[in-house]
Amino acid sequence: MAVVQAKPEAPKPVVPGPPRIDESLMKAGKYEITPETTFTVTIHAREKDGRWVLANGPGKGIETNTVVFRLWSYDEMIELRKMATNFDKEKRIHMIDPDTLNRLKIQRLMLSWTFDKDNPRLRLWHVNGVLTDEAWRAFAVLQPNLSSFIIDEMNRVYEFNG
Amino acid sequence: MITAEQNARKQCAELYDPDRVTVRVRTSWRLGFCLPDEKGDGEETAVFTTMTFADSYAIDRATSYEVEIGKKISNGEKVMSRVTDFNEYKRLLVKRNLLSWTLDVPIERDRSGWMTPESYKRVSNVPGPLLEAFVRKFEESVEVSEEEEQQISRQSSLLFGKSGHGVADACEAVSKFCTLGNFSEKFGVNRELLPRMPYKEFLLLKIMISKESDALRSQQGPKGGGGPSSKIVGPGGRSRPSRGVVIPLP
Repeated sequence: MAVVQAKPEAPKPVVPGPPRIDESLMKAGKYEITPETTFTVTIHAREKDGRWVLANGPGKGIETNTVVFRLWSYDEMIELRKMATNFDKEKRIHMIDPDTLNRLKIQRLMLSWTFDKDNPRLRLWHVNGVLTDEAWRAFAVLQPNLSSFIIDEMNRVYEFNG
Repeated sequence: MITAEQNARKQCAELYDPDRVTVRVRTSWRLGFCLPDEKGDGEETAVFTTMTFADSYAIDRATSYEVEIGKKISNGEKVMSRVTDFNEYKRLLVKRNLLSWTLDVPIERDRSGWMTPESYKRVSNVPGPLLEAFVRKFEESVEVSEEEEQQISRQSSLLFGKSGHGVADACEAVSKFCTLGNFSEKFGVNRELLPRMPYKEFLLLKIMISKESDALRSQQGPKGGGGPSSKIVGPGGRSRPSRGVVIPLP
């Protein structure tokens, strides 16, 4: 006699619940990170013998550029540090690779800069909030003294509380 | 500058509510957001639930993983070691232990004591350096510093040494070990009951414990003939005489 198997129960569709009222109504608190929670790094430099030399402030023959970063939230901080952490088998401790961490900070937290004002090749593009490879290369082609200065100023806020 | 009253309030809070740890971080508003600043004119407070052994064990197990640290010379077998992902540990620590704070971001917990995912989403969205400062201060309250460990070693060698007569200015570990150990053993007064004990009663009993200890020591002294109550067992299971004490061999 043929046995008819019971029809398996169709999986119940997952109906997303209504959004929480508190989340819908409450604005971000003054301590929460929003897209507007940014800080700006200002770079003053003058051209000398075909290279850019950093200056202390604005002045004659000095060009001023700015780079805008978003402050990182706790969760982003943990996530980026996690991505930059490796286990050192020799020392048997976890080590954060500062170069990797700096690259991740720039790729994920740098929003805009003025270096693209006269040079469209240095335009920054983001996909899902992350710098594209082309945009990262634009940062990488900056003169090392400029990029080091930007990284140092950026880390003054991220790592040394401003 | 912390006043004596503030200090006393803090100590009382710790004694009466040992399940909570309050940490304070000096802050200032710069660049439009709140950041830790030792010289800042603001202060933010966070209350954590005390890191218990169970919490630490559970978080540690959840965040540890195995890594290969080498190979055995004899058979080339992998040598593995279990290590903790300290970044993930910090994330779970916030979810498990952060109870409340002065920031305008509400903290909600479920019945099992963990922060709800919705709440964590908002909590973890505060400036990283600020929450990290809270976490670091909380961790400081849990960790035993190198200096503390050295002090414990020094005082323990005096306390448990053969000619030990107690320790002057005992550190927290020695003081707790002796006080809690004695009170629990003799009167069944445990860590939770001791802070509620009438102080005079505590003092009287402590004097009596000290007198008893002195009496026992004088009975067991070198002239008293008491000698050590335990033998030191050497390799092979045979007793060997300890320094200055002759034990006849069987």
